[in-house]
Amino acid sequence: MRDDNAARMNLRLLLRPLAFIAVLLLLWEIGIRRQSSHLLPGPWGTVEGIVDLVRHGLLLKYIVASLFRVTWGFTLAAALAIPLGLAVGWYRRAEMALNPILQILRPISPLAWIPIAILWFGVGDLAAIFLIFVGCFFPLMLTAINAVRSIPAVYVNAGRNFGLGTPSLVYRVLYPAVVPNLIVGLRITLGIAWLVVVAAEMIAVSSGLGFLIVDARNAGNRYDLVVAGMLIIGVIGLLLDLGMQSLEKVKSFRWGYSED
Amino acid sequence: MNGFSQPGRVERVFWPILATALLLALWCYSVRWSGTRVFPSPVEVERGLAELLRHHVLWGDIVDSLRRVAYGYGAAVAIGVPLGLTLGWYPAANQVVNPVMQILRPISPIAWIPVAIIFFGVGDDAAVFLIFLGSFFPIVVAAINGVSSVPAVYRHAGRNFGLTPPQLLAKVLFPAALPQILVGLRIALGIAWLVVVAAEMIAVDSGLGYLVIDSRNSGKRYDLVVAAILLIGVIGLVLDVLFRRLEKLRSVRWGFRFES
Repeated sequence: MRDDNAARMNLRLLLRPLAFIAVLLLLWEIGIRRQSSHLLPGPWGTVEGIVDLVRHGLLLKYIVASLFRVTWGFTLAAALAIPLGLAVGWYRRAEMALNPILQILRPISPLAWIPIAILWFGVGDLAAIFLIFVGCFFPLMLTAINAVRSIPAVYVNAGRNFGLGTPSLVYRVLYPAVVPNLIVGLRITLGIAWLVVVAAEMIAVSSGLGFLIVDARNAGNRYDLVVAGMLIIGVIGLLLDLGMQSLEKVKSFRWGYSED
Repeated sequence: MNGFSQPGRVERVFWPILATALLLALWCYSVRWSGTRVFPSPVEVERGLAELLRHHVLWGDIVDSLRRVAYGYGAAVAIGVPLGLTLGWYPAANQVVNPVMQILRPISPIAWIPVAIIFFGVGDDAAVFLIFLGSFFPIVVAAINGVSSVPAVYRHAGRNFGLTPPQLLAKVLFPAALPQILVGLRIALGIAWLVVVAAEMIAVDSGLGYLVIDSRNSGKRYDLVVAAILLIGVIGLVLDVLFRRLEKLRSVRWGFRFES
């Protein structure tokens, strides 16, 4: 009996959001039917657009191109910014010295770097990767600095009292204390990277999902492809976020202080 | 010399100035060493900035950018906070709406540009719409999380004192959720500043983003490009600092701890 109830509850939990989505899609279709211009596609037109893209083999190619750029830009930024940020956060004077510069560079929209990226790297993959790198580097570095600064002094002093040398202090106290914060920062930054790659592709290169959107609009007002591209960007962004979220769970269990 | 010794007051000024001077010298030297004619040295950037100021174009662009951010961000706050509070208050409603939001949220606001241009034409409204989209979802999510993390004790206590639901929302839940909402608002303001620059590079012909792209396209004035980029950083920093001030002020006024 109880199982039956639980199953019914689950079904209800699943059905309501689906019903809501169905209502939204219906409203969308009705809205499109009522307007006269026929520029924007309805839900069905969007599905046809996606099928069209798959049939031409463009969808997979563009997704791979976008993910390729995000992977490189994000990985490079993480590999440089995290060690640098940890070191700077550890030495108070270094942090004081670099803080004003970081604070000014951080709020610069990565897209404002586009002219400079094109000047240095030409139009192409490298420029886009550079933009993603710039967009991720500063938030990650600040996260790393703050993560080190927020370690309670007690932990460090206790480690010292137990006679840990600097390497083992870093490995056994600093590292586990910092990881949960870093993973949250990485997750936020991956979202930024996904936002930047789309914009960079709209301006600086000629492949990828951002290019798909701009190209579909400019070459013949194919708004069904535009909306299809937007949906795919949303779905992939969601998947990336979910992936980072699952990492958050695994690693914080393994390395967090609470487990020790 | 580790992260937990207290440096003196002189050092507090000395190190930032030293680091900034070193960076500027490095920049100056590498421009000279590479013999580039295109990329400006710090002195040229300073001259470019003075030139912009003298021609009075700068203030117009800054005001245009800030106005767009104010409208778009203001609308996002006005709609997003009440909506988020409501959704956090009724978990059932949240379950229904959540999947849709999760898909719409990671769509880069920039990807909406073609759709924004159809709806609003090329102009201020399109840019305001993009900023609205970019800051709306983070604000709603922060408000939902804020309300749902309010301890149940507060809610029960409020109910026991005979508060009606609207009173409960206004007097208990909102102040309790406020700190978390403010963090969301600050992140959203950063995103809004990032989006306005991108939107101005594509969708309108005024503002700081347009200044960047226009200085590049009309005659490769890279000194103006770099000047505009630095200015974007400084204004973003000022916005962030102002918001932090506000945060302190408000939490003193509305936070639970100080209510009689």
